[in-house]
Amino acid sequence: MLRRLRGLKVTGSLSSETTNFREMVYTCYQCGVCSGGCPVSSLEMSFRPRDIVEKAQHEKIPELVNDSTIWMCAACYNCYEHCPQNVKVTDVIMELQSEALRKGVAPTKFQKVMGMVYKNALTNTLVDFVSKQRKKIGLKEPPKVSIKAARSIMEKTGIVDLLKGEGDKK
Amino acid sequence: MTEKYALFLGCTIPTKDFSYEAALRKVCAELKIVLADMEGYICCGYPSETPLAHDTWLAMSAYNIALAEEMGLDMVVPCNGCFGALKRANAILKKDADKREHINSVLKDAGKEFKGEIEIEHLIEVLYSQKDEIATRIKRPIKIAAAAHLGCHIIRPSEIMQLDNPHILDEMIEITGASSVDYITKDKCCGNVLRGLDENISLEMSKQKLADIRGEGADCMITICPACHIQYDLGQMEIKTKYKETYGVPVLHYPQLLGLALGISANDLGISFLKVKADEMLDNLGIAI
Repeated sequence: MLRRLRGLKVTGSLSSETTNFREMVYTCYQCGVCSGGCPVSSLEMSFRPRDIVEKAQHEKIPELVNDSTIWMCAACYNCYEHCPQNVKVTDVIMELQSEALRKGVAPTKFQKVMGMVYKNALTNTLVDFVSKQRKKIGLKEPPKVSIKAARSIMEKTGIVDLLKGEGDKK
Repeated sequence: MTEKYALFLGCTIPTKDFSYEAALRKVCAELKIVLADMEGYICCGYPSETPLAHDTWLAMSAYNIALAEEMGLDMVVPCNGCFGALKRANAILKKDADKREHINSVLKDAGKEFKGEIEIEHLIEVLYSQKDEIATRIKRPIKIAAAAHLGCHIIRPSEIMQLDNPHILDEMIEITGASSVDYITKDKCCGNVLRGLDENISLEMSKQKLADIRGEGADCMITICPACHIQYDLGQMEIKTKYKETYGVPVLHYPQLLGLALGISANDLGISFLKVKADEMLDNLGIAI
């Protein structure tokens, strides 16, 4: 059964290099344990991991990728942990988020945070005010970071092209 | 026996939540756990942990792991996000030779090579490994009811994280003389990842847990991750502004609670830097702030 489903063509095909996306999605038998234990679903009815997987089974990938719902996942891995079919639901959602990033329809948080890492090697910088407070509490300066190493890695793994100016070395 | 670790501070602790750093450094010094700073470190790569940027995350984590390998030390990580990213990358790269070769080719220009020689441990695991010794050193039992918030990425996905004891934080809380209270949403996520994506859901998730904790009569909440801590501590200020609701639950970093029990002053542990003040709780305990 699974072998037959694996051959199904999924419209808007996702890169399956990193995860067995199709195999995972078609293993789901829609029991709903994922939505039942999801801390976001209990607050926000429009976010249902089960619905996301069901839409993926019905080849509605472009619809999912363009919908802001996939960005409501808190990445807590509750669904991943409890799925009786071992569908890595968090990974399924992250794969959809990745596709949204590739297509340029994702929120800008990823670009902003990774842009900061490109500039500073960290997602935050040490501002003067905090530096003074650190001294007050008896802390020395934190260890130095290597901006050169962070940039080299980000350039070599091709992530810089996705930053849309957020990583400018200003 | 003196234990020595490479301390991975990450992004948030030194720049925003430095009272955690102050407390953990003081507690480790007291317990003769030596922490070596990782000069030249970079972000763990957690923010890029998506299939799209899979190699970016692996290479950033591998860079830091290689740095600790050069120091000849296992790594101790006080942040759940960093811990999850580093531990997973370490597991993947130790197991998958092709991936390791590829990531090492990425790291070449940065002058690092991942060898797979060290282990990644969370701060709470390192402290837990010394729990018997710690129990003998409690000078000032902290008789309060505390609500443990373990967080997500230290425990899930369990196939990789393999945290032996999910009650690790409860046990460590009880060592200090406090009781660890049960509450219905105890294993739920803080919602920090949704900051900058959906502020409403993010804060609603925090409100739910804070309400449960207050309902159980806990004096405070205990966290072991700067992201969770900011979400509940600074988060209570945001909730007050946005929803006009006050919970008044002080949120302490675990080493602050342990530090108090070891007899370290509240001031040295950075407790005055908490947004939700713990003054009343400390006052009831007869501890000066």
